[in-house]
Amino acid sequence: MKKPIINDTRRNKKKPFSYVTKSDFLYFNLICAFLFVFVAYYLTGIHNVNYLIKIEELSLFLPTNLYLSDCMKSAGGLLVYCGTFLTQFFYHPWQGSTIFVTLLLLLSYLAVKAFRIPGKYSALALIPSAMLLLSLTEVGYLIYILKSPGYFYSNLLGVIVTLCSFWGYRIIHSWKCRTLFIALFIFATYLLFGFYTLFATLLCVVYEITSYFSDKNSRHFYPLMTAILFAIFIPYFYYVFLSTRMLFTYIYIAGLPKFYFNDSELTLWIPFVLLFLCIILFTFFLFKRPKTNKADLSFVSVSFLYLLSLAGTYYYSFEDENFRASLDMDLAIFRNDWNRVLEDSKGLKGEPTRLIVMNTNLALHKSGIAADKMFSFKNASVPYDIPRLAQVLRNAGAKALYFQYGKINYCYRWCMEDKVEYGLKVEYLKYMVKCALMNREFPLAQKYNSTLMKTLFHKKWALKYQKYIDNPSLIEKDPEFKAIIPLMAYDDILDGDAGLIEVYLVNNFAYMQGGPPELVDLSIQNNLILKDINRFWPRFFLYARTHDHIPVHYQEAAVLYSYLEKKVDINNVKIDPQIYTRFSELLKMSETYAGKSNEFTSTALKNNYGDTFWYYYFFIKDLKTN
Amino acid sequence: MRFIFYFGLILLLFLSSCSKQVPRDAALQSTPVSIYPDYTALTIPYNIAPLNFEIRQDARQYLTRIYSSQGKEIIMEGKKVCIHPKDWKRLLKENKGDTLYTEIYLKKEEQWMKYPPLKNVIASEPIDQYISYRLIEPSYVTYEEVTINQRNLTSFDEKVIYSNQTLSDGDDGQCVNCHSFQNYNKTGNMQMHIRQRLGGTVIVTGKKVRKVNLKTDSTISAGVYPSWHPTENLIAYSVNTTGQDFHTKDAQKVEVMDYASDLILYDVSKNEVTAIAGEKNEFETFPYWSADGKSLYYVSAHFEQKTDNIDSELAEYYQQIKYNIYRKPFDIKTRQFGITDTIFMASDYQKSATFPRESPDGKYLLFTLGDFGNFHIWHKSSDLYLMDLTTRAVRALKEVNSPDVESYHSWSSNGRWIIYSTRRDDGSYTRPYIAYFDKKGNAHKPFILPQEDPDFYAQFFKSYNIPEFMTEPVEISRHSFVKAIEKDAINATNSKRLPVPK
Repeated sequence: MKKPIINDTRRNKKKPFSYVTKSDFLYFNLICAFLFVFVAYYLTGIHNVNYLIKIEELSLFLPTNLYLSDCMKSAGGLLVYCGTFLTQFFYHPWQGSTIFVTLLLLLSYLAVKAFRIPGKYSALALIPSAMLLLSLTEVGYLIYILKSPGYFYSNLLGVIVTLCSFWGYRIIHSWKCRTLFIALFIFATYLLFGFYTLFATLLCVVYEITSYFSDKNSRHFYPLMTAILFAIFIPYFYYVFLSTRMLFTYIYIAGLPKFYFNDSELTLWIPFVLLFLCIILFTFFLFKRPKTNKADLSFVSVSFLYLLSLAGTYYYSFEDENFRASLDMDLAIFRNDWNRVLEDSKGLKGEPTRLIVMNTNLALHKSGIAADKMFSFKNASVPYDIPRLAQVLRNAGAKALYFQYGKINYCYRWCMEDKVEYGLKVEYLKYMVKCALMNREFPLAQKYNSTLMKTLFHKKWALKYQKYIDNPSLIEKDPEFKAIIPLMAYDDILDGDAGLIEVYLVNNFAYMQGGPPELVDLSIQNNLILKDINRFWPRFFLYARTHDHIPVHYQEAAVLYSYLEKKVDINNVKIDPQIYTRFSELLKMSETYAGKSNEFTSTALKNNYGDTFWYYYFFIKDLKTN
Repeated sequence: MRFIFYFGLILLLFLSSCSKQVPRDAALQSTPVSIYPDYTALTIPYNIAPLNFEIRQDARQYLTRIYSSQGKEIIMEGKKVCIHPKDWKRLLKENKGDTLYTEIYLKKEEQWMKYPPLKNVIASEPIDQYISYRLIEPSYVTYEEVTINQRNLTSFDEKVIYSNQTLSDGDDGQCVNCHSFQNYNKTGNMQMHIRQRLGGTVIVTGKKVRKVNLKTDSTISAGVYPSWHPTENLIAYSVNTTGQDFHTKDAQKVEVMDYASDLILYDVSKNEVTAIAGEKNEFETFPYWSADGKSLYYVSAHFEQKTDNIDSELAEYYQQIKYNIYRKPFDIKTRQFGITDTIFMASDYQKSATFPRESPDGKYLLFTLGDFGNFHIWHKSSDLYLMDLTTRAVRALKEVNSPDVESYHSWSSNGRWIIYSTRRDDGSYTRPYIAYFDKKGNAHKPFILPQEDPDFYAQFFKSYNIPEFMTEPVEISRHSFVKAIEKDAINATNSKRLPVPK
């Protein structure tokens, strides 16, 4: 029987965007994809080059059976294995970015296919990719202490596995086959993919439930119940009988990043929550097909959500000037590019963290200008923008600082401690090779260097140091080692830094007596930092006796201390008359500000005297080391 | 029928043409080829797992022939020589007491070279089937994954007895240490300590697992270094307060020192603790029962604290702390200790002794001797020494020592093998080495615990800690340990017995 034709005025009413055709959606989706690629490239290979390099340095992939079996000790191990494999490519940031962005696009494509997302909604499939992009860019300082090897790829790969598995499941028509498939799938892949096996199972469960509501066929319960039971018990059996590296509380979330479940790290979970939510919601596309493929208001919503996800990714990506500068400095220190470190320090718009200050002082020392310039650089103790209570200076700076200052055992110690806690990483191995060489522990250097030889991108580095292992006489000719050797002219004692790197270094040098000129210099500088008058004088006079020229800050300190104490005669020391003149002017200006607050005076004097030891002595206080 | 016959003949011809043969025209070389691990000139147990090795010379082709006077020879290709366990086992079993030859052929350019055969003696005494050890990085204060494992020495099977990662994730860390077994685990009784999270001492008696707290109001700490009595349900422990400092320059890097140390006896059945030794100015530690259980060895250092700050005092004078070896007789019936006997005054030689271990026949005492202190695993000077308990003559066991660290050691139950930890390979990562100890009291050249992949140790970043022989494996499941550790520890009580005579 023909349906009566109803003259519906609403039907005749022209809907918004009705002029948009199917091919226009294709263009729209392509534009969305291009925009996404642009943003993704910008946030990876363009804007975060040093970050990507650091990610690679703080990772390690070894093409050995031992490494594979080590990864497989906890559920989700294959994702870690593949994740660390792909992380290597960040060594060349553009190459790494391309792989990363390509996989993000693949994920979106799989989402469209797995959930049969209609053309006009296809842009939504880019939202999970955007969230995974954000999961890479949001980490910041946590990269140093995150205990999730391969993190930057493992979740992306996990989602890809999820989508492929679900797609495979969905196209099976027979409920018996689906039941068998889900049982085998969980049994066979939980160890490989951990949480993502369970997440794929959840999608299958949602699919079966939704199918049941649409066709009321009770056979959906067979795969459904199988999925639920296997998802509950397989991880449990794995934990009881097989696992040696997994807490019970992790059995259902093995493979997810190891962020804390607390308020301060909540933001780190948000991309993952949105990602999973988004994918679950996609399942409804399988049942609720749009009546028309023409553009309507939902098209506006799609565009809005897509743009919102991109904007959110951009907005919530970690952005911190000090972090950025630290990364750049770190790479420069490893290259011994001290000018670059100083440029980074000079380029800071805001106030620095202690890590920046320590790196700057190191670069000044290595450039031989610390005694003239060290108080002309910014000096503050801005807290690190990190959601977790952590010794950032220790995690991010201890190895480089200790190594460059000749505290080889302590550099090695923190490499070992961090290796134990966070896993073996390229950065640690490199410092361990260098430390072992400096300590003349050649078999040990060989062990670490051989490991680096197995990597894809660090062979060249390892080959350089292999020459030193094979021919130790070359060590002293290496400019980096050559600069460090004089700093090792101290006696062995039993000591400890308690993880307080700055306090340890400053005090260690400040208490040193005699030694090579480099150590005397460092001792005076660190006594200036500590504002210790008594230890300053003997070292100063030793310096004055042995040098023709006295650096500016030493002169400033001598003038100030002799003025304050009035018991040490510096008339026989060559002090630049300009220093005296500047100092008298400072005294005059101070008198003018008598009675004013310390804050007011410090601001007033900063322009003229901010680059002097005097300013540091009177106004730089209460710095929080570490 | 004819078809089957011809098919069989062809198959036989095919197989025989495929079997490897050593080249007949190989040029003889005078110097032996270098292999890693160094499995040459050894005395090996007939029941050991295959001694897989890698040939340390580049060539186009590699061929290795392993043979003895009896049985089928093994011929293998490749730079890495990974021997089939069945063939290996058969060959060794058939040639007990005989020599095992390993002949290596290398093809360089077009010419095969034959190198002088490497010879190893197959001892007729077996080695205990199992060892246990702790795997931990040679770290300073941090730890993440620490496991106590057991390894079947007749194969490559390794099993985790307990892993701290099943109950801690590092941020809320748990350490596990000091595994100890009664009489080579023949009784199934063992103990280990859990530190920090869910801390306590896990005691296994047969199939029963429980966690106890050995800290009482009269002891300075919970039990630390343990030793199960060979026949009784008794464990001797040291109780210690220790400190740790780091060398600023010395390659030995870490120094662990006793700040206080006593000895206690724990009665497993009664859950009671008794003091054994607790002199004020003595650091008594590392107790170890004699093979017959009638005496207890231990080491002790004399130290008189002069200031209030023991930390800085010890950091300055740590090199003057010397441990000597003592022994107390023990009456199994009355459970009373007798008067202390001085066994070896290491301090007279400006040395410091630890880990006294009596051989199962009671004839020898094997111990570690270093320049100072007791944490010899970090002391390059430490070596294994042997005392003939009849004559009390002491000698360095040069056969097994190296320029680097030799430290913890264990006798096999038949007294013919010793396993010990050494850092000879790279100075940092402790490896287990095994040596034959003959009836005349001589040790033979040691060899590293064989692994399936000869390159294993180069890739492995953990130390083997406290290698102990066992004749029986630990049968308790990991999950049973987990369940016991999750429970609250049972507090041990103080015994009301009389104090031990000095």
